[in-house]
Amino acid sequence: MTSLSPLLLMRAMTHKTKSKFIAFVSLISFSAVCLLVFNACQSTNDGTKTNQVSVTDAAGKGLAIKDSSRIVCVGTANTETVYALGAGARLVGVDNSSGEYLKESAALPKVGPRTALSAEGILSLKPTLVILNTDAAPPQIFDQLKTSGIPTLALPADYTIETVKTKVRTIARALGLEAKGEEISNSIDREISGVAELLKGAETKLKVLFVGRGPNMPNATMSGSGTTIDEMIRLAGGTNPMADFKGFREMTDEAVVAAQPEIILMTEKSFERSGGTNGVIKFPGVALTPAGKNRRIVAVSDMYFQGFGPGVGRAVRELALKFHPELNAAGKSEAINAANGERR
Amino acid sequence: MVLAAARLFPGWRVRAKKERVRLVLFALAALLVFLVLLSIDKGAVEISLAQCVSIIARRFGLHLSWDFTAQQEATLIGIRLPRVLLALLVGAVLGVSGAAMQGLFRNPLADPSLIGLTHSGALAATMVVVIGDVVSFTLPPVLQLFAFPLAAFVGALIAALLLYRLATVAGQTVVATLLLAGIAINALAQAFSGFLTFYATDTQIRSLTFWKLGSLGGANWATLVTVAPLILAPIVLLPSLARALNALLLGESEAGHLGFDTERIKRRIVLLVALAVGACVAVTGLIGFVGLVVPHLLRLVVGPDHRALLPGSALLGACLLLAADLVARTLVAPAELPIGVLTAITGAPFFLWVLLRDRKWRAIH
Repeated sequence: MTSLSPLLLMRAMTHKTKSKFIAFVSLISFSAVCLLVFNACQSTNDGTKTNQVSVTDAAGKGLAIKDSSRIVCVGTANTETVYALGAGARLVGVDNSSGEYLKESAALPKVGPRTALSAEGILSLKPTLVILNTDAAPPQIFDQLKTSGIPTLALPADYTIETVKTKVRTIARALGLEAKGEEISNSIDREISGVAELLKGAETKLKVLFVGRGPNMPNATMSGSGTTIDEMIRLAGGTNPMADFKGFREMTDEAVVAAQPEIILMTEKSFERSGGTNGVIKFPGVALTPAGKNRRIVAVSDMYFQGFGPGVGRAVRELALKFHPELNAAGKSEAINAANGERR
Repeated sequence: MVLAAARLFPGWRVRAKKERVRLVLFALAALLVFLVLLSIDKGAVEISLAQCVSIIARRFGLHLSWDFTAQQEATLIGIRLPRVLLALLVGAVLGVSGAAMQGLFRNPLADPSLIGLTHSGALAATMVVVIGDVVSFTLPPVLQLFAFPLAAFVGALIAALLLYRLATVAGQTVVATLLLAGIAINALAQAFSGFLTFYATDTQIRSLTFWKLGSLGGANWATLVTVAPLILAPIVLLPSLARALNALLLGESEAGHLGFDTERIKRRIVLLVALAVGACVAVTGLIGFVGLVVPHLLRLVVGPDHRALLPGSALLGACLLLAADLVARTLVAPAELPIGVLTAITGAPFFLWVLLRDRKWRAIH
């Protein structure tokens, strides 16, 4: 009888209230249906909510990740890896330099520069996973995120090929895309050993000086040891004449002249900023070096030096070929061999 | 008008003034409570006031009907609450130590950050970062928490003592010498910082930059518990020296004749301010202008009596820093602005306005 009571009620109503009542009931049922459909959609969308995976972070500790459907990623190389794994759609926020160097992520919310992150800001994007490097600041950010219960994957902040491969594999595992990660890691290996093979044909190791220049900066800086750039120069078959200091220093003419670099390496952006080859030759001391006399200035994509990412193999190859253009012909056959190896 | 009259005729309507002081302090306290509540409620993560109440009540075992997610609870308890409390403490102590320094040196420019105390503290903490890494001694975690505040305290203390020695001739502080010596110490501290930065690694530079811009973003319960006693001591103890500071306004020998042990009082103030500055620099980096602007503003309203000025500066300082931090963390969310930049950007023009107004007032009278 209770199920009939609405009908009984309706009979007692006037025409006007009846139509109002029908509208009300249909609205309720419509929203109920919507809610059901929405919930159903949500549960079908949960393809990323696979089984729990466990990964090892920079400190060697295990981290359990249940859900990698919403990722906040800090560090350009890390973000690049997420894209390379084909999981770019899962990103809900990135740091400023990711947004600057990776066009795909330009429209995503920015959580600030990696040196001044805000834990609450990151949490407001409702991530289910945060990926960052151990050099993120403030240092308390790791604790803050952990206490909030969000799995926070801290990756090592040093730059060697081994670390890149570990990082790619770790991120892939965290995202449940292990096979793809293994593939990228193997291709890095192949590319790097391909370059090493290629460099056997090179007669000399060239002295390569990296010169950087920020926007509107009056002075240029050069890279010492312990940087991504230093490692890249080494891998691409050059030597860094400034290896006796760590990090970056301002360019001084005497140091440059004493170093006698044969090539000046720059990023495309700072090359343009410096006014091209003619501008770079006017930098302190450059005119008195072999690089300046022979106008050998190599400019490559800015992306290559934003920490090692999945593209490091290709970057090293490009650098090696630019340092040793005579290897170009050999390089082509090498590339064909590598491609064949991949097919096998 | 009242202000001008009160300035021209000190002692005019003393009672009315006393009442007004009480009113101002009460209003500031009310504003502070409002700002604390607002700061707890507002942030990048959406948490309604009812949910806030519910989350905090849950901590005390009360189950209220307003629902909240574990995420909201973690954000409020783990991140926002310690940050708000830290802003409150740091703001209060910057205000009160600014007022005490200005009183001690009998000069309105004697702000800890302007005369080199803050930078000296920062230099000492930088030394811990850079040299500590080179010598590669690793402190036990408990000491690590204290290493920064302690180093910064020692740095600020050395600067304060040096400054006092340099600027005091025969018991009288020579204002010009004080300021110039302060500026010199400031420059020296910054130069040494720059020197250390030159030798710092990339990672170290990053943490140093974060620090130089000033931020409350690193607040958590561990840092809060570590520095709270160091900050609370000056907040509580400095106002108790108000009468002595009032006497010092007359001059040191005059204060001595009035029965105050000036040397002891001076030592105590310098020690407390160095403690406050050290603790603040260690956890928040360089946050300027609060210590300079706050006592000035308050002096315009309540007059030079330190009995009102010191607690008032603590209240107003806390209000200012809470408001600034609220803006810093909500304006560009999910990122945040460096608060040191924010206080300087709003503080400096305001300070200039006060100076200009003051000049005009003097020209008229």
